[in-house]
Amino acid sequence: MTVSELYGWTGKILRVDLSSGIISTVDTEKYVPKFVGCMGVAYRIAWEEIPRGTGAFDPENRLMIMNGPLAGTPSPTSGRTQVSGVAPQCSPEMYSWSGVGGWFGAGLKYAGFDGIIIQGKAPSPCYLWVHDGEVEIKDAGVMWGMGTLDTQRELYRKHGKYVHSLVIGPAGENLSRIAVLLTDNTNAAGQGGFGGVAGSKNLKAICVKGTKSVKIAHPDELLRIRKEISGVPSKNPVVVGAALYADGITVEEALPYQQFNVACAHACHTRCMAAHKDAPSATRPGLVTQSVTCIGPFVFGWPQSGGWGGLEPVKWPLWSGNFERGIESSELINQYGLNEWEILGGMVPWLVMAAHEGVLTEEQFGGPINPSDVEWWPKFLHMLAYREGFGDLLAEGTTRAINTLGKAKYGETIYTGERTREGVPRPTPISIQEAWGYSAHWSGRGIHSTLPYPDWLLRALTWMTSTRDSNDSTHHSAKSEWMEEFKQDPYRGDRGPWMAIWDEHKSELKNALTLCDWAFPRPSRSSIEAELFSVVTGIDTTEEEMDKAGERLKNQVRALIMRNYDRTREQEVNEIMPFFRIPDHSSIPIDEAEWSIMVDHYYEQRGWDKATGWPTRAKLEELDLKDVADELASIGKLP
Amino acid sequence: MDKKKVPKESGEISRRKFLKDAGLIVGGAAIGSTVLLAACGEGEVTTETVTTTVTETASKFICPYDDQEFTSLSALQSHVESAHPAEVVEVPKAMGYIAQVSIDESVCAGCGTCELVCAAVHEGSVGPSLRRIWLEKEPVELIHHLATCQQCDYPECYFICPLKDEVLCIDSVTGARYINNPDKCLGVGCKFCIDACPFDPPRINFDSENNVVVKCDLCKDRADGPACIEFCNAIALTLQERR
Repeated sequence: MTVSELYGWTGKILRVDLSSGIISTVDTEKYVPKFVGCMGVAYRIAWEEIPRGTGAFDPENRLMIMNGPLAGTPSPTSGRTQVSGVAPQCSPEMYSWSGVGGWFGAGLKYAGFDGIIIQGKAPSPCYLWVHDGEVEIKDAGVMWGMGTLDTQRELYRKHGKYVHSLVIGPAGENLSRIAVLLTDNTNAAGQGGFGGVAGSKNLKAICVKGTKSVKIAHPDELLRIRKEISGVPSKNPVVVGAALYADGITVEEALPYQQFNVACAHACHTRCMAAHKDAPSATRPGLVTQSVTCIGPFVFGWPQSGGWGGLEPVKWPLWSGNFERGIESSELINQYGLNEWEILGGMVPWLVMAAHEGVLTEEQFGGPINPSDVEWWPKFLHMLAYREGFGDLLAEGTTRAINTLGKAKYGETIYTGERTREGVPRPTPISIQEAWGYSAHWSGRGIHSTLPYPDWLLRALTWMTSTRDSNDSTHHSAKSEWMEEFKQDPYRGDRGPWMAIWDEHKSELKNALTLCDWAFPRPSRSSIEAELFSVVTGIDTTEEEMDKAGERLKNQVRALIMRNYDRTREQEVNEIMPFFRIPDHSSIPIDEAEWSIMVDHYYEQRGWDKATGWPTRAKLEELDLKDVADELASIGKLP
Repeated sequence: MDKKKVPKESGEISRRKFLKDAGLIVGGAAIGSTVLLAACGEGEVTTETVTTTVTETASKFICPYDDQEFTSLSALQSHVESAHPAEVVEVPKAMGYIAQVSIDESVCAGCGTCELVCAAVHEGSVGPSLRRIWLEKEPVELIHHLATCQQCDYPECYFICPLKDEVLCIDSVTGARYINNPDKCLGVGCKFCIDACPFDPPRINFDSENNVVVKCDLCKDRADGPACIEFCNAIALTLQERR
């Protein structure tokens, strides 16, 4: 395969050294099809270019922004982008990643590139202007200081229609560890704190525009597949008086504002993001974004947690419902370039519960902690984005803030306020931080409390072996017969680890191709990743071969975190165990002895050494990663 | 003269040379009329006078045959039909045009699938220069506009094409104004049709990699009809009949 025959990929990855101003390219074919694209390519580049000891805000940290071979094509949700590098939100700092929807990935492809590797630090605030194969490092000028929405609009005015931008706000400029990179429709690369990495490089934005085309090997087949997996088309009317789309909760029964749905990624086939039009804000005029998805509904109010699949939710009233306050707060979070998940899923619940227990005082915080008050959110978000007062500590992220103050008091104190399910008290510590610096996410505790046992055991396996929360790219899909078998013997059966591994490999593929983490994988059509890859690239690939590529990626990044951060079984089990010792919504804690057996099975199925959690040479060579095995052997990390 | 009409660099044929060599009669045009005005006289000069005047000063309409001025397009049409009947040729209407439905009916979700499938079914490749429909997306606003070829009753692009009925053609079944023989278009590369399109953005695209124009043809050769309509998940596109 030569570059001129490439389908899907453009064949070039852009490298920009902001210190020297040198711009160069790397041939994508150095990495594909072996590492598939996007996240897989970034893993490999990180392995080659990010040595031990590289800090998140070091100029030599790589900020990698990649699209996949499907980007820019009609493959469903292919406009997604992956951002990665050493992540400041990780505790400790580790290589990590964040996916982002939008149109940027496709725009970058049309501009001529499969990704951008950004290194160094610009001498003054700048942005990248990438257009039809040309790259310019331009003065960010007045944009430094602007919110993310204003920055995007400024670039739109400056460079014209059909541009797409990935930008930071004041939080990123102020090196917040919970700052995002944000793009169209307020899509954010949220987890990881990569907005702060961009800020540390004096990089305000990347703006792309292009007219180049992407070749598809079998376009008719691609459209056939797209149609087969898309639902029946339906109208998308503007409705008034509908219940708000909610993440397992219904905050408002009926909103007197216009509501409809929009796509959050180029080539989306579902449009699951709720949007509003002309809804007023609580304290200030001029709202423009008005879109809500994922954790977003919690900004409108926190009456309870969970409630999926007919399960009784956990009543846990932390702040009252108020749509106008919430839509304003959501926009401010976006404008400042802050991580909405971290704020809603970890930080503000912690603040409320810590204040309730008296461990965090008004004097410490600099005023009352009252998210039910419409005036509270703008003040809180401002102090967080600009590191004012207590906001300076909070900008380090909830986990670091708790650890700095003292985990025993500020994290482990039990919340005595209302938290019940089926009328039974379900106590929780005031911290709902789970592991690696991230708040709880689909683990049977925290905001997704009602994920039942034993489902959360599978999430625990994925959390354990990652550097961030496990729902970065998958919402854990399974066939019902798999689940039934798993539930027969959760800890000791083979099915549970098998399911976690299946999902992890599909997850790697989603980040490498790219695909949306809500719509994929599809257990009922588990070959879909291979099908899409084959018809776009022309490289006929079976499901087994595709999954093997996913396994290669998982092992590549495993090797990276072993080499750079000394990852071992002991380290990762110890990291997640405090969280899973907390009883779930049915008062079930993890069984540590049984868990150890489950981990044994997981490692065995992975071909990893049970004592260390390290991949064996046989496994790495089976995955065509002999050079990785050799390097690990040279540093004494091959079992 | 529009910058794009300046003769290309050496090796490419200039419009004037082409017109002389080909000995063609060039169509002059007025926007939106229901008749074809087959211009006489100096060809290129007449055409440029008319198109420039009509497109850039919408309040003034000049007859290409006797230079009389009119304040409305309909007045000019009536004048041409009565004073210059030999210049009037009927142009079949298109069966319709791709239109975005009212947001009261369905809101465009902004996914851009219409652009992608459009390019894919026609070219096998996708990209901004291959689309025949445009998602006009502002980075923050969530209400989007889809720009589509209107298959004009009075198609400026058709009249201006130096290879009318060879390159820019009218389909006998659907009435779609479409690009045929892209190889011949490639030989000219004049982009007159793009310049002549009265809309912004022009509803004819330029495939800069292959140096040919591409345009909505209502998917006239596709059994299932327009792909953009078929693949729109929000049913936000329709084939609108011209009334």
